Amino acid sequence: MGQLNLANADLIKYQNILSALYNILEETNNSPQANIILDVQNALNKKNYNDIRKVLNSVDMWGGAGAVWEVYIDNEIQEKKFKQEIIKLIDLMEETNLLGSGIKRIKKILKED
Amino acid sequence: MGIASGKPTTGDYANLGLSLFPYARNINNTVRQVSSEGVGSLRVSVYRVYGGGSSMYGRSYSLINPRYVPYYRNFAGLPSVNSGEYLLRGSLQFKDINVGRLFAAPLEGNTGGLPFELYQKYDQLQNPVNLIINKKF
Repeated sequence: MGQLNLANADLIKYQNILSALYNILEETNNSPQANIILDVQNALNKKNYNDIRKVLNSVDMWGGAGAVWEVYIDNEIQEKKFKQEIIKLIDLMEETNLLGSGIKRIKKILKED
Repeated sequence: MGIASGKPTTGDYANLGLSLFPYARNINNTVRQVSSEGVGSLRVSVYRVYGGGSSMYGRSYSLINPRYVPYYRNFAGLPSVNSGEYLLRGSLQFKDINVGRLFAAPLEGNTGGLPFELYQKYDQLQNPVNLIINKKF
């Protein structure tokens, strides 16, 4: 435990995806969910393994009504971009062995949508 | 005719039955609906607890009425931004039901396990109404 051994390239990928998600959420007036993304970014900056795993797999990210992944976006283009970024995030979490249970299913749902 | 003529007809008995058992009318309507449009047109009730940072216009719905589930927040995996102040009930056509996860996932911060987590588009939801709740979820 303790320090997370993520390559710098992976950290940059995480930050890029999270920034894209943050921007979409702010532009579509979903500030509470944008703030959740900020928490994830802060944990990544601190590079604490436990915190990163917790916030990335949290109920705030992947839970029920109000979680980041299920947010309603009225604008179709923004919604499509949002789904793509969420799928990228799940892929990256899987690549870096940070993916918790029950989240992979979301990728399938979003792809089928 | 019927009772007025002193001899009740079948229709009179049916009306009496419907007045005694109002749900029978719904069943009757449902049977008529199924026979004319198929099972896919049947409607089922779905629920969404929301409030605070959680909008009523999200994608997550539940087939389970939250009022009958103790510790709903924990089992359903409501995020902290969801204040749980409101309960929305709508209906979906059977053919539109999209089960996202069979059970709510056990994530960091909840137990999960609530069955049939639905992932729907808001425009699929029919007759959405807010129900009165006594306390927050």
